[in-house]
Amino acid sequence: MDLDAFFGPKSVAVVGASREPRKFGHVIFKNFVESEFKGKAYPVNPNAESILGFKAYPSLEAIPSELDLAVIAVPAASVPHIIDECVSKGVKAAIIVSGGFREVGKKGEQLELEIRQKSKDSALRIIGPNCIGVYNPTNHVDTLFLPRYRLRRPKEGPIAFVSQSGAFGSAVLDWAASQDIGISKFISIGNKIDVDEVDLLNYLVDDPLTKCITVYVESISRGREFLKIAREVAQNKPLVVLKGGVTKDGASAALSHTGSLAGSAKVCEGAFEQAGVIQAQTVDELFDYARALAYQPVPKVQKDIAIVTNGGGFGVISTDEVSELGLKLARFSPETTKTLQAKLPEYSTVRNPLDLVGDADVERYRTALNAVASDSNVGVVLVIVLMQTSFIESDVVDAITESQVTYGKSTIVCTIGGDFTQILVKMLEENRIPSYTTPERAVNAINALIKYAEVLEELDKRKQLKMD
Amino acid sequence: MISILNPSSDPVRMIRMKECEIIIQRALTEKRSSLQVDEAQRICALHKIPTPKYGVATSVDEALEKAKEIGYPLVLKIISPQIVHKSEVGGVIPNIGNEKELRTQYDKLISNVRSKQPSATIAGVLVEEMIRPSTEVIVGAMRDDQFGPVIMFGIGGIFAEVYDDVKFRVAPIDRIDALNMIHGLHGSKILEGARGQPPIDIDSLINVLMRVSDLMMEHDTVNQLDLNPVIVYSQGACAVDSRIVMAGKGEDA
Repeated sequence: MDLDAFFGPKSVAVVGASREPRKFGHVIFKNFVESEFKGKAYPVNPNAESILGFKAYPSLEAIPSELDLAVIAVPAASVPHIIDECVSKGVKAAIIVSGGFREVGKKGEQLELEIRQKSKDSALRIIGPNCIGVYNPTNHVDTLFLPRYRLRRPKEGPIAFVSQSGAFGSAVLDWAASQDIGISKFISIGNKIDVDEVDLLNYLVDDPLTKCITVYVESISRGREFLKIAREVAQNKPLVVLKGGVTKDGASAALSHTGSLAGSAKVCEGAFEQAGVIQAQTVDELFDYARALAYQPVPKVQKDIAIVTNGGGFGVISTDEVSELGLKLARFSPETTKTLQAKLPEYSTVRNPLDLVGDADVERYRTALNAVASDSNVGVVLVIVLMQTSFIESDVVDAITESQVTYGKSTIVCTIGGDFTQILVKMLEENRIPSYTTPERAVNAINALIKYAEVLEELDKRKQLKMD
Repeated sequence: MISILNPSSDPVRMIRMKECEIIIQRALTEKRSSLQVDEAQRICALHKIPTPKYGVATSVDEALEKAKEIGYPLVLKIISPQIVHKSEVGGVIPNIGNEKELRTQYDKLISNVRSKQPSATIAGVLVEEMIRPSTEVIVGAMRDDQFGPVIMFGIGGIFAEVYDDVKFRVAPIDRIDALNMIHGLHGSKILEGARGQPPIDIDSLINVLMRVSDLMMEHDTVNQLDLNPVIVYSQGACAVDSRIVMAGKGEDA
């Protein structure tokens, strides 16, 4: 596919590579030569002989080999000329990191139009301008001009992230890295004069390394195509979108009731529902949902929730949240109830939410989780485990993982705490069991799983309708 | 914008599109940006969106004739290119039960409008069947900058904007979309039948929604549309008031 050169280039030129360590061009070139990037990297700078020990070239023409990707970090006014060079050199993909285009005014907009036309007239694909480019941990492609000691790069994982805002994107990557959340691919699209979210969805739907796609977007360039591709994506993997800039403008002329009722937020919400997009309302929700959707199976037939907890309070709050979101608690089967009554101490009442009491050890969790996860009335298991007691050892992670793997139920953990808890949280994350610090976030994430299950069911229904 | 593909493969649709376009173009030529109440009714009728029986009168005698065909009770509505909100200028008089009342109220209607909006041209009076009250919903459509033609459904009536209980879908919509809009409202239980009321005719509501979707797909000259209220019964529905606004500015913009 013609976007391959962005994610797996065999050769890269960094135009505007600099000897000065703080300059974007320097950081980007350094990323390529000091990482495990297996391709060839060339610095382009007419004012330097060498950069970081590598021979510098005065232009793209001068580079003695074919080029797949050019990362451009020179002032906006110089960019059109560089793009011409890319086209004549036969470069497949260009990332324009530079700002100073449409976002600064008319002059910048002119430059953009020039570049857009050049891209249209050739086979060159362009990401940007005014972006931070691409991060692909698998092929070690890293065009982010933020130094690695300031922005930790996340490891490989199942979540793809497309962001219209570079700053937001970079902050999220840093945070993801700190949480050990793995990213399959990150793309910052900037002013999107060529490659936009529709193109990337088309690409990512076929990427086997991506299990969930997340998007932060402010303006959707091609609304109807977006909805069309979103629906196609939804059949294959979950798509979570955080839409920025949806404040109800209601300024739409009061020529009709419809005009005054149609704030862009409500219209967008309806469009996303229709296309099977899972909409995140907040920054937290974007990755809270993504982790649940990427790591856990959706609840298939049964969607009712079992709550197992060693903290009564969190159990109560979760139950409230389940009700608040219109979800249902599972009713345990007589077999499950009998098993639990027999095996749990008598001070632990058998009901849902199942309070294992503060002295619950790993064995008690194992018993409870296996009983509950094997119950055909249960679709989702919410495990609340507060790890501050001396009864909870690290093998609670195994107990939780085993019950998920054995019975295949969607499993979510709620836990909150300091250093000790964080160790176990990271172990759970390794095992693809997402954990959340509050009952609200946990139940909200469960809601996203259920919503996606409903999206899949509806897509099936539509298929049936078409065939009739 | 995706238009209905290949209308020539569906002759019924072609005829309908032609007739609607004639009405819309005439309004645009007269520099009006919204259709008159009788024109909007006609477009609805062409799209098989149920509306009350009506006739257009330019005199009391004509009104009486139309009344004979339609039957009582009746509503009188002013037809004027300049009047956007008829009720606000006393341009709607309901509950007309007989000929005597029709005579009196016809004159009252004209004098209301003449005094409240003297600059308005009076093109005629719509003599319309008065519809039995029932649950009120609003069906609308507009063109969104990002998504193009969009259909709206909600709890309606004069408090529609207060309740703000509405759902949107992007046209063209199918039956599943229509059902989702209906069931997606906070007030959906009212439609399913609450407090001893029977459930409303969901099928007829779905039809109205899909027909409005067709309208928007067939005519990109239509910019905004309101059917408010659409009265829904346990059998059937009726778009009691319809407003159609075109793109571009007219005298009444």
